[in-house]
Amino acid sequence: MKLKRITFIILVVCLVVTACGGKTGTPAASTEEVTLVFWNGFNAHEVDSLNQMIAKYWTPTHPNIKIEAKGEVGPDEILTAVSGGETVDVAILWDPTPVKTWAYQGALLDLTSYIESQKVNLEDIFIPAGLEWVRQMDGKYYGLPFVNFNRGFYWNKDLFRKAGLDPDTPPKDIDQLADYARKLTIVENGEIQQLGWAINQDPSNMVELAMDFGGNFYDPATGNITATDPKILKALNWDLGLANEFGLEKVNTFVAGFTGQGNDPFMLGKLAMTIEGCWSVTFFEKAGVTLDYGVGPIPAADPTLQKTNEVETNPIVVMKSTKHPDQAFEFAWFLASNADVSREFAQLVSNLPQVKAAMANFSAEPKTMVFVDLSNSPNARGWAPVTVSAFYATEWATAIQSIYTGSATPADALDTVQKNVTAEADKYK
Amino acid sequence: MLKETQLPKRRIRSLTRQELHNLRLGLVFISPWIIGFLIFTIYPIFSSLYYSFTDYGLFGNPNWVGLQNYINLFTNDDKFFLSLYNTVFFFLLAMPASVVVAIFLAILLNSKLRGMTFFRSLFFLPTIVPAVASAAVWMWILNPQWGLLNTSLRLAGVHGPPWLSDPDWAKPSLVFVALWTIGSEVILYLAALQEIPRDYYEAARVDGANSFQQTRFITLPMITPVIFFHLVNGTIWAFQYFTEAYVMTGGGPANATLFYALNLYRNAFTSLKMGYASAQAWILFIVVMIATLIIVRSSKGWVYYEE
Amino acid sequence: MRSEAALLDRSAKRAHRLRFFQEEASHTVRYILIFLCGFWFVAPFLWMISTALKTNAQIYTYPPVVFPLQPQWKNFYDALTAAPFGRYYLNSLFICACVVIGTLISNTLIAYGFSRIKWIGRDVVFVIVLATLMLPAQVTMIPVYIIFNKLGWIGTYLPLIVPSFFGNAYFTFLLRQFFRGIPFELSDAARIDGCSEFGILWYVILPLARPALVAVTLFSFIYTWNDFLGPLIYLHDSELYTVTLGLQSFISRYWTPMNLLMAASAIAILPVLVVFIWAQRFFVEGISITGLSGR
Repeated sequence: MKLKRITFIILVVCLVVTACGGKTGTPAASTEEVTLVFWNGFNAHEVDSLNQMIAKYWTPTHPNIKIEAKGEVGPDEILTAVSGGETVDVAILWDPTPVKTWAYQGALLDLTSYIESQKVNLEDIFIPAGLEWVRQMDGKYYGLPFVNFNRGFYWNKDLFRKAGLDPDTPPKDIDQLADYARKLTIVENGEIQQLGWAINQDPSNMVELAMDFGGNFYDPATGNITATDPKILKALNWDLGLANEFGLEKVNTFVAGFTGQGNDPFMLGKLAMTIEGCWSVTFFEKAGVTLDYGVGPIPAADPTLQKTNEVETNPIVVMKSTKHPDQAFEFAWFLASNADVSREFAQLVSNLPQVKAAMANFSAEPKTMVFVDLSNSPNARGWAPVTVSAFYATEWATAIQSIYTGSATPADALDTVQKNVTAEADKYK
Repeated sequence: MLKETQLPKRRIRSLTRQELHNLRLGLVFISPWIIGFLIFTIYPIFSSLYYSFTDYGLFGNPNWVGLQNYINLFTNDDKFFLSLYNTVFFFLLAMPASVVVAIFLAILLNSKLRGMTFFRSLFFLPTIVPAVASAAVWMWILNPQWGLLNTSLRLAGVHGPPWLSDPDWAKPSLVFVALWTIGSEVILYLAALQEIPRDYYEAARVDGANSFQQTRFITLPMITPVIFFHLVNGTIWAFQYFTEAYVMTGGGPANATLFYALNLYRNAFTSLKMGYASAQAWILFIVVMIATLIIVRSSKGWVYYEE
Repeated sequence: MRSEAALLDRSAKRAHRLRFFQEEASHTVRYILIFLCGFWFVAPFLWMISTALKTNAQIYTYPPVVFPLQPQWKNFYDALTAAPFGRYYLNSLFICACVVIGTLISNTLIAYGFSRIKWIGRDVVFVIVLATLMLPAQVTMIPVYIIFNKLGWIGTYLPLIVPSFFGNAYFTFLLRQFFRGIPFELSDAARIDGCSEFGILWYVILPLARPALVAVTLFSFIYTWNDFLGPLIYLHDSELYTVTLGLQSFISRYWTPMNLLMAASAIAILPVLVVFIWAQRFFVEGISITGLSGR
């Protein structure tokens, strides 16, 4: 019967495909050799460079521990695979917010005892702000930092000159910032041609501003959510007030015209002062932008808040389901604490080193060194290293959008954030 | 007497030889689907149903919580209703628009004029552009200052809104983007149009029908099987709409594009509440099933098969 | 006599000319509409190409440059050599070919069963088939992964290819609709002549359903070619990577060379375009499926 022949053909095809499919087998587990599966979110070129660094700095001292790296996978893919039964030993996440949620759910290996056996003071080796994201309220560590990133204040020196301001002296505090913003805004024919200050489209920048006013998004002692901190409200009111002076609609239209990557109004010389990430320095260079600009700490609302900036990291985690916890930790520790890898890789991806040893001579570019220095300042910290930080970030972004589209006042928006995030956080108690 | 011509009553009786033969034959033909269903589909379906009654967090063991997830969704979750509203809104906007536009384009492209192959390829191009490129392209088109759309509107003297940044226009913008990939549906309508016998049109022309009447009484009825297909698949797609919102708007501005599937995804992968998300998935399943059954039931009234 | 004939002739010619102008007018209208609509469909693609031809400086200018005066054709070369795209093309082609074969084989059989044979419970089972489309992928992704893991298929092409041999609700539905439109008299006649069911499928139905089969080939090819998530989670060895994963390699969290990405995307479209142009032939008129008239 023709049907039988079809079935037979299908089976043969399946067999052929299986034979040709080339399953990547893991080497037989001998007592000596171990292969660690290492997943991360970096792209193919970055992974290639990382593999070279591993070959150079890890393999000579650890010839028995082989590393199988796979890139381009974000936290969701790692989650899917691990829940699906796949073995992943070590992972680097491109964003620190999942760490505490995952730790709470039991996905990650507790590294505390391993770290203690290293007999070092973590704060001596690592930049403290990066550690906050991987350390739970009870002091347990569920990850290690790897290449940090932060943000800072950027100002356009040419536009300063045109407005009669000293290009090498940025505003020294918030009031002066508002003052400069007024001087640097040019309105023609009812449209803004040049804007002095704008950060309202980026929720992360708004976080920086709020912290710059001394705002705390959570209570480090208890882990409670404090979105209704009056200083945060003050920051929002300040920025909204300034936007209203220029005309909120006009500002929104101006900012919305620069959406999408590469359409940065600061980079295009249309925005005089703003907050940008440490990676923008390299980005501008690669984009061939010839802008005369300066970078520095965000003008503080208060002298005690000098050099406030929000620091995040790309956390290294060890999955709890690993079959080789000792070796996995060793590799994780290597990635985190090796100054050479830190320096080289951070430069590759335009981030900052997470170890103090790599800070000196990190880069020949003085602007980058400003960010390195900022990340180690006493006022550098993570904005909300809590269990529900990803949810918090989404709620915050929604709040910012509703404030600037006029559908909620800053006070109401913050109340909503507080209510929603606290309810969410309660589920993780 | 009349009763004998009615449908057979539902009572247990053994199958006739013919019915048995047909049943066996039918099952043989669909056996690949049956096998695939048993191996690849049934476990995910039942495991997600099971998880919906637990507090499964992807790691650790699922604990039974009964209907608690479902209750919480209906009583304690603003985002649930908001995302449902956004999705229904999107569905009601996107479905009629896509049917009308697809049919219009198919009729437009269904001619022997020179260059038709080229034009058909043009309309089909968007469906094959990789997702990574599409998103970037559309962010430019919808850019409020320099995007193609607003620049064209400006030339016509109209001031366009900031599309994706405007809570009122974000959903319609996404519908507009979705219409761009309507090429696949146009192809199907084209194939159906090709199969309409010329004689029908000849006969109509002889009877004095103009082109609108021809369209209404010949073309449209003849392509109703494809319209049905489009509606059913479109409904399933619209209610599960996710990728573009995830990449282009992230659910914003101010949750204007927080669609059901995006909310579900966040619950599952960001908050690690797979049990809760599974309950959400099954509620969606029921909603889509109801919508589809309505369309299927109604199809007997307006779908014409040449049988 | 002659004047009457001349009058008739002239009015016939006038009527003919009128119809000619009407046709020309409707042709013109058609072309205008096609250009107007077509512009919206092709403009995004043109922007993609124009970005591919820009230098970095030209991408990041304000106001945006629409057409670069000095097109950087070398971007295409750079894009192709930035990752082993030759290998990725072959991999993608292999996967697509297998999937298309599996899709055609399984779905024609299944659709035949749902459309050309009347059996008890058929429509109920069909609703179940449709129902499998209704559960969002987000919740079935992980159990599906578990199955493939238990089978030991992770890291190979098997999760991407084998399921296509067991039918796909969308294509089953599509083919079923088309099969239903073929007159039952044809298959009845063949059955009376002693043809087996499979023979009817092969000799009667398939030739008449060619446009639908071509559509299935086209769509399954495109869907598989552009599939990203599947290869991402099922393939580990970069030797096996597909074109979509190759495109992803341009994207970094910190810097994406938009011109190279667009150039690579444009090149990624080419094979699909070729398949589409081939498929065009089958949408050309002349295929009559009624078979009753003109037989």
